Amino acid sequence: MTDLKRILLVEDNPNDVELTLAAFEEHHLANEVVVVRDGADALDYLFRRGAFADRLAGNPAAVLLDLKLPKVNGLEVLEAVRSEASLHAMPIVVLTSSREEPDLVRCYELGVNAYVVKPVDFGDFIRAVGNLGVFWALINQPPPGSLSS
Amino acid sequence: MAASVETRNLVGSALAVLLVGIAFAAVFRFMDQTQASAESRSKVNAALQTLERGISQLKDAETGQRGFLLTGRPEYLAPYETGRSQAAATLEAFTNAEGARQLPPQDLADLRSLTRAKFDELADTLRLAKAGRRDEALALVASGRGLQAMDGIRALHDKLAAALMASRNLEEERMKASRQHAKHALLILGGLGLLGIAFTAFSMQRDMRLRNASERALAASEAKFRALADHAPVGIFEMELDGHRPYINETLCAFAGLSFEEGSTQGFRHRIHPEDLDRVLAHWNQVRTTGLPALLEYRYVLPGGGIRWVESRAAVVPGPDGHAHSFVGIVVDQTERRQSEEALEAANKELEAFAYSVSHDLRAPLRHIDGFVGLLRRTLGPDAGERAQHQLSVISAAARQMGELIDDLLTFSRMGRAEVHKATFDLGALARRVIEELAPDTEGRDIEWRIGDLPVIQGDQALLRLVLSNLIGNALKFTRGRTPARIRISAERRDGAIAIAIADNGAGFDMRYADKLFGVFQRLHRQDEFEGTGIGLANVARIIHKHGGAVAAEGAVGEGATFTFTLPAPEAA
Repeated sequence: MTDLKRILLVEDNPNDVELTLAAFEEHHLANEVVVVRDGADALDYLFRRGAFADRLAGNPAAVLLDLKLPKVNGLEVLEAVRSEASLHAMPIVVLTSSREEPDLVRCYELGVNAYVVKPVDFGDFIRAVGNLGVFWALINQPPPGSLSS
Repeated sequence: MAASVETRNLVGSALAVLLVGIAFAAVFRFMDQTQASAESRSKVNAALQTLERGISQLKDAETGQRGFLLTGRPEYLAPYETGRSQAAATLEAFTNAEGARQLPPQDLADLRSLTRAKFDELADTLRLAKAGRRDEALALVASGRGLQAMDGIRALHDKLAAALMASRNLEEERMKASRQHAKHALLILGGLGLLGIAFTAFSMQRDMRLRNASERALAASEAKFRALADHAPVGIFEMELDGHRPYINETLCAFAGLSFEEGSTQGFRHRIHPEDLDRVLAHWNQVRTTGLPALLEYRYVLPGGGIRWVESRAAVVPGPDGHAHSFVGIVVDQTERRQSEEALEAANKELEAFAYSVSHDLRAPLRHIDGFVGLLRRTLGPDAGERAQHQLSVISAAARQMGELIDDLLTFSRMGRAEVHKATFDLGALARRVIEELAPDTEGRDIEWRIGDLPVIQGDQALLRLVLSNLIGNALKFTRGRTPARIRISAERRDGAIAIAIADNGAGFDMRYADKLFGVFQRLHRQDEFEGTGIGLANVARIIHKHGGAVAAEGAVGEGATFTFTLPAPEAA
């Protein structure tokens, strides 16, 4: 599966990480997911610095970004990424518990590619997150310079 | 149209002066006449005296002649000579006198010729006597030639003297009449003039008294309003365009933490918050250039360092020449309002933060419960017993129910803060759209819809859509099991408002609990009868109240329910 592309999951809650990975497993996508647990790590990964200074070059095919994160929150990550030329075109999907309108407005202002509210219902959750993984990792054609595994 | 007091006084005094003037002119004229009459009288008198003297001198000359004729003594000749020359001169003077001009010229000519005849007779007798022919002289005397002349002279004298005396009397009469006229003119015209002057003076004085009274009334009124302004709970000022303040009240000074003395002498600029000063000055400039009234909020820094928020409303007023002359304005203390606004804003922010936190943090554990129940089901697979499956289902349902409650609660909380954006739209069209959206709940059911004429209304379409969705959704929910279900939507005008009713033939409710219907989390049915969170009607009530309307419900157990809400009628287009 050489055309599988890497997805960066930014999620602080281990339960959510487990559920998300479970959803990806259904579609055999779990191996392609890199998980970071806060906004600061996410930026380190994307900017290839700190603990991630030595990672392979190239951007993930998509970033699944929670909004409520320790240290640097999702909106701040979004802002930093969108103001960096090399990351400007990278697809970012906000995956969050809330549909507070101010968050929605701000995210789209900052150029988010999709905004998904995590469904409470397990079946709905598995379907929604699974579809996301399939779309961004398999169906969507990422911008040039994306990382392939 | 009444002439003004000024005009009346002017005309009155002019008339009075004119009358007095005429009186004086008349008096002068009558005095002139008197004077002329007096002069004429004295001339006539003089002429009369001259005549008498002339006659007397003539007699002297005759006496001299008689004496010489009788005695022959020459000393009688001297009186004769003197009398003769004097009488000649005097009588000549008389005939030429001004006072004698009115006499008939013929009489004067007769006087002259008679006088001459007398003198000739006298001269003839004396010449005979001197020549010693005394008898002839006496005979000449006896001839009566001289006597005849003398008689003629006497008769003429009497006639002329009588004429002169008559003339003198006439002039005296005239004098008397002129004096009388002068007196009358003075009395009547002068009196009228004086009356006029007195009237004018009285009128002017009354006018002045009235003016003084109105000035006093004005001063009293001014004092009254000044007292009111001084003690008003708002600052009041007048400021001329050059910055001079002809009036400020004490309250304004107190707002800036100044005494009245300080406010009057130092002005207020040094008390304006430095951050606001540019804005305040720009504002004054704008009011000055546009001449339009304007509002401004700014701060004063008080001596203790405290802040006072004030709102100033100022307008330009024109001076007597019609051009912008000064600002007048009032200044209202807004410190309390500002503080409560800030407190409200802070409370709102906190509430928002709370709601944000709730929506993120409370939902995550629920998702995890349901998620891990799902994973557990997979782990157990078909080996799980029926009992375990049931228990897992209960956990799952409870979590989802909690999720719905949180969603509804957040919606309700948002509704409290939502602003109403009013627009005019067709309520009927909105109702039909809502019914279409509820199609999943109507599928396979026998429902009789009766939708009356719904009006065009004014309101927030998104919020009122929620109202209809809730009420129609409820009607569908509570008619479940009715065949057919009957749902009627109607509208009517009621006391200047529009009342919209949604009636069904469903489960209904007990009117005893009607007041609980619109409360948050209040339910009249068990969850296993009709599902719900008890938020829907609370939301409906909130939205309708925000629109200035009211909600009501009527029903009976098993006989259906009617929910009514009112909206203010749209303003006439």
